[in-house]
Amino acid sequence: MDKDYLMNAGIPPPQPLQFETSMPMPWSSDQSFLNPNSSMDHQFSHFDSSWTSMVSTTTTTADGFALRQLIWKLGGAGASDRPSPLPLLDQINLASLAPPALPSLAADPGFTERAAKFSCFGSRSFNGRTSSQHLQPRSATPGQSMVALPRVASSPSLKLNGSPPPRNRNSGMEMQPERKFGKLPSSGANSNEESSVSEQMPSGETGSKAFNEMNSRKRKSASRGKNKDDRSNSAKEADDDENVKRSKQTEICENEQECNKADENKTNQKPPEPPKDYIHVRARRGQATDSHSLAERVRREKISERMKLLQDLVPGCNKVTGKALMLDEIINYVQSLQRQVEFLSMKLASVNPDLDFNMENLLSKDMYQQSTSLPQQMYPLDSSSPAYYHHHQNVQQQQLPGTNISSVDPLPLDASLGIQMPSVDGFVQNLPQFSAFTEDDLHSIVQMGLIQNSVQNQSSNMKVEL
Amino acid sequence: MKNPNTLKKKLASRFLKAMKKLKYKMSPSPPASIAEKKRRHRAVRAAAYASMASAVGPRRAWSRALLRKMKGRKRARRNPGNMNTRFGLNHLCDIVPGGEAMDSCSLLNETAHYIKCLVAQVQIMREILHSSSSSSTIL
Repeated sequence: MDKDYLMNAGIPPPQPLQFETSMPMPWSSDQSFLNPNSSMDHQFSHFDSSWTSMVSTTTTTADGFALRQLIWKLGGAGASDRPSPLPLLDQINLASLAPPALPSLAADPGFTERAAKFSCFGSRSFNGRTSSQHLQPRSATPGQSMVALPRVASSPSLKLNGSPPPRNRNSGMEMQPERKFGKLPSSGANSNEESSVSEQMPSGETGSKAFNEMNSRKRKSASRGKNKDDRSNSAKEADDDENVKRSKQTEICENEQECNKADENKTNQKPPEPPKDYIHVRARRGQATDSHSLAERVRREKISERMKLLQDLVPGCNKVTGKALMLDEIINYVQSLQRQVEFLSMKLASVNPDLDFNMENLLSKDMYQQSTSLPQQMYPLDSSSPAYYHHHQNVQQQQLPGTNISSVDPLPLDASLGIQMPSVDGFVQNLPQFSAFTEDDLHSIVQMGLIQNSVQNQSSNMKVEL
Repeated sequence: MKNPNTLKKKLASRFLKAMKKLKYKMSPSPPASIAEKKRRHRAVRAAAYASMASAVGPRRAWSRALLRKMKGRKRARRNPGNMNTRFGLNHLCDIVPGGEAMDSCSLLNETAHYIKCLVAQVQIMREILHSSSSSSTIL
């Protein structure tokens, strides 16, 4: 792919460079590289021919751009091919970059804007989100990494610029092989950027565009490398290996850039990072694409979906946030429902012989058909179910004096307590009056009715039951 | 998923059938002893859960587990490796029938459906009581 990048870069070296696969670089360095090159040559023997040829082909003063390209390429290639590109790069950085590169960069205010726009290069979704955020802070610092490249011929390189950088960092828009992906949205974004920026920039500065993209991408990778720690996503832990790769590049990039600019970019890019939500299935930027973390993420999203469904089912769960509290609410609700079933079955058991279930059938069916019109009648009963639910919670907190009362309390009733008929009657007596009472009154009525009954009848039995 | 009305109708018909069966078994006079009351109560409760489970059918894991419990078979323990994926659902799996053998995702699914059915069952039972209390004289 580097070869492709090189070949299609369209940067025609004035002299035929000996660019073999060994050193595929669109190289157009300037004289400042001579010294580091000569020192490096003995380290990387296979660089010799290509380096010298590259040096000899320097035609422009775009030292910063070419240098960064080289460094970036080395960083990317080094991860795959060469064992330790870092010393080379460090030497390059320290030796040549800092003094000469920065002053030569044109502080073009429009340039920074363009760079800001191109920072959104890697992702379509970033365009609207981040471009505006980038504009102002970036314009404040005429970038040292911006170079008004007079080179025009790098426009075809735009299309393929997207492919190598996303190779090194997770473009994360899709789960396809990153190369393939890198080409698609990059070309799309490229066209977007070009069309949007074309009015601002003369076409002659397409080379600067490429430069901006490269730098913005590098900065983005730098910020992402820093952001690695900020993310709470547990799946990111699997990204460490890729982040390490990226962090190598980011070190290089930071060395070459001004620290303040890099920091600013980092801080600027932290907010524009896409919010990591759990609904999308696709691998996102900065996330691992290995099968385990993806499967985990899918599972987690499913679970959160289910939790949302449950939230709708359980009354009063809207205020509660977080899985643990939600689970507690759900458990409480299910327990209260089960207790209601218990209690109602007890009542039914006591009432059962007197009920005519055939008639019940008809009546019940009528009720169901009228279920939509029943709310006025049913509402107090339904409101009593949250009343039961919350009442139980209140009861637990209240610590009523006297065990009689707690044993009489209808909601957490255990059938083994043997609540007597009168208590049920007392409760049933209160039923038609439900509509007139609020929840609190309901509690007190129920308690009072039951206490009266228990006091009147066989309270001793209940104590024995206890 | 399920239309609540259809669910309720299904549950109601089953429950009423079960109650009818129970009624014939019970002595018509109000039972005097506490043990008898306990027995009755347990029978009604079992009828409630059994009718709920049979109305839902074997489509749901919790209904299958309930039916298994009713028939007295042992609980089917499969996938013992679910403990790693629990995320604090331990209490929930104790409450929802058949919850141990499920992974988190399906456990939450089952819980949702179980809640729906429980709510419908409670409504039915209350309606029965209400109709009995309103139609007949206060006992």
